[in-house]
Amino acid sequence: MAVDETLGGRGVRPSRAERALTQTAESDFTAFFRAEYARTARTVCLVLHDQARAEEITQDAFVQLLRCWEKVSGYEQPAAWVRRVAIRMAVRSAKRETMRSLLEWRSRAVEEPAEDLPLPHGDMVAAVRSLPTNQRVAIVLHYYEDRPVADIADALGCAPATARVHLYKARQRLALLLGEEGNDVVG
Amino acid sequence: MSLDDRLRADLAEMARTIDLTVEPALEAVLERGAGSDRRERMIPRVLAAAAALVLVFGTVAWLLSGREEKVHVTVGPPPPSGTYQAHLAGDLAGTWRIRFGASSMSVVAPDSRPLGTRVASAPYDARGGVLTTSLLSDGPCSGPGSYRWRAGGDRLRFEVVDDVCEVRVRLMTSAQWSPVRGAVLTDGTYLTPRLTPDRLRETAVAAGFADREVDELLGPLADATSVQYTLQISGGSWVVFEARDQDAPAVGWSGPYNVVDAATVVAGQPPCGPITYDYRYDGRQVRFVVVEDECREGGQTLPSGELFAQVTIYQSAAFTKVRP
Repeated sequence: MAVDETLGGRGVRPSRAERALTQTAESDFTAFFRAEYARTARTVCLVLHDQARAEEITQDAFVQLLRCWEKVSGYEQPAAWVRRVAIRMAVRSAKRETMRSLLEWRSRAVEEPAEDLPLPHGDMVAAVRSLPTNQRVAIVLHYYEDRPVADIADALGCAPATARVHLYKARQRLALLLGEEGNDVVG
Repeated sequence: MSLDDRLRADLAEMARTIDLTVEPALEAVLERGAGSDRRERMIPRVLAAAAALVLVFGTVAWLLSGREEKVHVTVGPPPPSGTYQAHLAGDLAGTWRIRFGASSMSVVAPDSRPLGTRVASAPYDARGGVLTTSLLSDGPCSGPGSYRWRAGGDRLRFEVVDDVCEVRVRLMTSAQWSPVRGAVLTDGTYLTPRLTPDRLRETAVAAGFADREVDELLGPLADATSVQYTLQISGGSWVVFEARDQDAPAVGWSGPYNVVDAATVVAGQPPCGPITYDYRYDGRQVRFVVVEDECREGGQTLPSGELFAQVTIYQSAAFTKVRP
């Protein structure tokens, strides 16, 4: 960690013990980052369908983690903490982008695939991308992250019942677009 | 392979194809972390210097004034209540209404285009002059937003304190809100035009019902070509009649009601009620929007058929007054 010497030596200079702890913490953080970054970034990328933005947001989440690493590293699942932060940031980003103007949003709604225009069989990428943000998040968290409905609700900032509706509607739409039966039990 | 299995497999495959480089990202994060750490070290010093200056000037001013210090306790203005409306322009063009209840607030859109539905409700908390609500979190927003409100005359204005949801910010802050005024719903007999099952379907889909639910819930009307609703309001009683094709009208719903103001009427009582409607009445025609439905007959949760019926009956068309 950098030592602040810009105030004529009056900066807060870490002691030898603090420096040793800092080096250990940084080493732990580095190992953690190498283990968890890719998975977190992939989840965010599936939510946003924009790799550059997904990497930027994932890095933002890890910067937040670094700031409170001493505390979060003591948690039982620091990986869950950083993924939760990243997903919430991704959801906010996606909604900000989607809602940049309601006019755009209306256009998107109009452009959503009509019921009588099923996408080519197997085009899962296009089908998931066509979902509204809440539904896309619900699908990614449930089927890729294997998260329960309560976690989806937490990420979306809504009630579990609402998250279940998002998941249900997303499955219905995907079933329609992919020409599948959508009657499996979810949740 | 079932849809669930296919979703799991395809999403995992999609994720595997995302190519990521970890080391440059790690370097960037460590660099940014170090930068923010330096900034954070500076902040307490700046704040301490500012606090010292304030303390010095404050003490001098107090000594010079020679007055006894008075302690002011800040109490926020009373929270808003009732129904307000605002005329918005641009993407949100139209007359919007916001209704403040005891613990929840709701917004009624001019039509279903801006939000995908006419109504959104959510709890809110108003204290110390700041209102926090998760309104629209089921739709375009994620999480709550906070606003400071100011009441001047009969106008209500909101200023954003903290909200990342652009739509909610524009809705709340783009215009001043004023109490709804206009004709109050009066006793009489009101009639819809003949409604086809397709019209009812359109209404239900616009209100957010899935196609499959609509198919199921419209089942009882499958062999009808049209239906007409009559609303009879008189002597404290609210009665809805339904007439299929050429059949004689039959009572579909009845209960007490209370016209709250020029925008709100509440019908029914527990276990089926209260049901809150937003209404717009011009003396001849009245249009309703179902705001909240507390009909829990036979269970703790709102039966989907109940809400479906409310929405399709009241929101498919205007009711025209045919008899006083």
